[in-house]
Amino acid sequence: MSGFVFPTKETPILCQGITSEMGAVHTERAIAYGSRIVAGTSRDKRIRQFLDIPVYQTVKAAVRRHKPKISVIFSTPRRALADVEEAIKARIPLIVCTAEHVPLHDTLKMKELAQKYQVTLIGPSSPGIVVVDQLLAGNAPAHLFPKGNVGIIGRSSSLVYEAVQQLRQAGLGVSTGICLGAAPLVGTSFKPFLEAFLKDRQTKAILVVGQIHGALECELAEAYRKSRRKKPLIVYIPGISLVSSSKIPLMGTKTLVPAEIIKEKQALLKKAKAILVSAPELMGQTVAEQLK
Amino acid sequence: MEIYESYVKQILKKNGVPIPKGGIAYTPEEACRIAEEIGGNAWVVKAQVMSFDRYKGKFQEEAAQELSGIVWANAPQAVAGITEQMLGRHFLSPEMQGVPQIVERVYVEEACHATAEMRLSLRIDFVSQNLVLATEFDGQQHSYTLTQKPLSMKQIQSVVRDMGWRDGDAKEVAELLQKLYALFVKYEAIAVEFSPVFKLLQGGFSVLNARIIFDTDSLFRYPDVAALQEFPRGREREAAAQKYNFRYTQLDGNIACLVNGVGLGLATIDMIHAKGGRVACLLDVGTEPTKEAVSKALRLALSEPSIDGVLVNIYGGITRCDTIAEGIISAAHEVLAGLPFVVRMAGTNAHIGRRLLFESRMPFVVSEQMDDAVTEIIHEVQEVA
Repeated sequence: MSGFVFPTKETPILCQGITSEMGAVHTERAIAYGSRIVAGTSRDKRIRQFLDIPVYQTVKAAVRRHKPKISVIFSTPRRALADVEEAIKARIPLIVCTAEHVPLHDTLKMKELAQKYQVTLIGPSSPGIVVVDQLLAGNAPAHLFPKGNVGIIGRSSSLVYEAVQQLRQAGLGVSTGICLGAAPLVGTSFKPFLEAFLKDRQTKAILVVGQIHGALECELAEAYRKSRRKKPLIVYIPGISLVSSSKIPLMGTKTLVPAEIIKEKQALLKKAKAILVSAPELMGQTVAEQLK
Repeated sequence: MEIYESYVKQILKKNGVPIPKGGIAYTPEEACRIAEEIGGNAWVVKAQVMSFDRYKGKFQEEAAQELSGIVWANAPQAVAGITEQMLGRHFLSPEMQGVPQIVERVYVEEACHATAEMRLSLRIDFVSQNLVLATEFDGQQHSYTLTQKPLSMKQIQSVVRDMGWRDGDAKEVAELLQKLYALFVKYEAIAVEFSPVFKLLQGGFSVLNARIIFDTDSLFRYPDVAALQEFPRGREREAAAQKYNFRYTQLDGNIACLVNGVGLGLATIDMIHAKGGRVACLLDVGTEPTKEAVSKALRLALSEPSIDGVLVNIYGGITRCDTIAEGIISAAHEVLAGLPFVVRMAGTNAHIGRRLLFESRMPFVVSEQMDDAVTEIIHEVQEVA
C-alpha cells in the first residue's frame, strides 16, 4: 500500500450496486461532478445499461472490459462483505465501502483480504474521497468542498464537513478530502494518505480530524515524525472533555477509552511537532495561521 | 450487547464448555428447590444484573446491605433466605456507572472449591485494530496480538506453556482456549471472557463466570441471541434508541444534544463543556435518519426531567436538513413546553430546513454556526435556571 497517489478526473471508476437507490443517486451526482464512471454492477440480470453506463452482473466482467482503478460500493450491511470481497479479488486498487453498521467480524475479514491482495480499502461507513474539481468517489457532498490547498483526512463524516465549512469561512479550500469511516474498525489508517499529501503538489497543509477511540493517531504521529518531507500537520481530536468520564459514546460497543491512550496520542503528536487544535470551532482558524 | 449470566451459561453448556451445575430462580422457593436438585452441601446465589464485577457491588437497601452480588450459602434454606433478601432490591457495582438495577432473578449454582484460578479472554482490540488474546494465572499476565487466523493448535500450546501449565492440565487448558476461540468466531463476538476458571479440588476445570459481548450489527444473524437481549429498568431509553436506530448516551448535565454522527457529537460536547454548560444526553441519529427517528429521539430526551434545554447540531452531507426539521417540528408540537430550543443547521438542504422551522412559528432559535448555537443554548439555559 506504499505510494498511494490521489486519483484524477481521468481515473476510471466502477460503481457496485449502481441500480440501488443510493447507488443511482450518488452515481448521478458523481458524474455531474466530473467523475469518470465507466461501469456498474447490479444483481438485476435484466439491466444492461443504466444512466448510459454499461452494467454487469459481476465485478470480474466489468474489470475485464473497463479496467477500473476505483470501485465505489453501495450495499447493505449484510451484503457489504461479499461485495468488498468481489472487488478485492478482482484486484481493484482503491475500494470505497459506504455501508454503515457492517458487522465487525466482516470488517476484520475485509481488512485481512485487503492486506493480502495489497489494495486500499476506505471504510466501511465512509462517504469516500473527494479530489476537488477532479472527482468524487463515494457519497460525500462534494459541492460543499471549495477548491484550495488543505488536505483533509477524517474519521466521522459530519465533523469533516464542519471542518470544511470552517476552512471556507477562513478563506481557505480543500485539495482532497477523505473520510476513513467512524466505525471502530476501518480498512485503512491515516498513514498512507498522510504520505500522499506530503508528496501532493496541490497540498500545502494537512488537517486530520481524528477520533477519541483507537490509536490511529499514534501511528500518524510516528509516520509524520519520521517523514523527511514536512508540511504543517494540524490535528483535532473530538471528545477530550469526556476523558475523565468513562461514558464515551462509541457505536454501542461499550468500549471504554483509557485516558492513557489519549495522553499518548497527544504526546506523540506534540513530539512529532504536529499542531493540536484546542477547540472544535478553531479548526479553520488554526490551519489559516499555519498557512500565513 | 450483553446478556444475563444465566443465558451465557446456557450458551457455554451448549458449546461443551465445563460449567458448575446451576439454575435460574424467580422466587425463594424456586431457589431452594434448585439447590436441592443440584445437591451437595454448599451453593452460591448470584444476583442477575448487567455487570461482571458483582462481587465488588452492594445492595442499596439496609435489609440487604451486608450482601454483595455473589453470596455463599450452606443450606437450601439459606439459599432461599439470601434470594429473598436480593429480589426486588437495588444493586450497584462500580461497572454499572451509578445506575442501580433492581434484581428480578438469581442464579443458583453449586459451590466449587479450587486449587488454582485463572482468567482467559479474547477480544477485538480497537487500539491495535487486531484480535488480542489475554491470560492471567498465578500472578502472571500475558497478552498476544493474533495476526494469524484461525488460531492454530501450536499457538494455543505455546500460550498454555507461557501460563505454566504442564501435562494433563495443559491439555485441558488448551481445550478451554480452543472453545473460547470457537465461541468468539461462532457468535462473531466483540469479546469472550472466561473469568474466573477454577481448577477443581476433585480434578478438572470449570468456568465459573463468563461474559460474551455481542456485536449489535451482527445480531441479525443470531435471532436466538437477539431474543435474549433485555434492557433492565432504568435503561428503557437505550431500548427505544435501538428500536428506532439512533444512539443514546446518558451523561450528567441538563442540555440534551441531538446530532448526526459521533464525531460531530463529541465536538459539540467539548464545546458545551468548554463554555461552561453540561450535557445531559447525546442522541446520535446517524447519517440517514427518518423524520420519525428524529421525532422519537427528541421526545425521548425531553421525557427526562433533568433537561433544561435542547441543542440540535446537524451538518448535512447525506443527512438532509429538511427531514431533520420535519422531525423536530413534529416532536416540538407535543413536548416543547417552553424549554429553550436551539437548532444549528448547515449543509444539504439547510436553507429548506431553516425555512420550515421559521414557518412553524414555534420559538426555535436557529443558527448557522456551531459556536453561536452553543453560546445561545448555554445562555438560555442559565436564564431558565
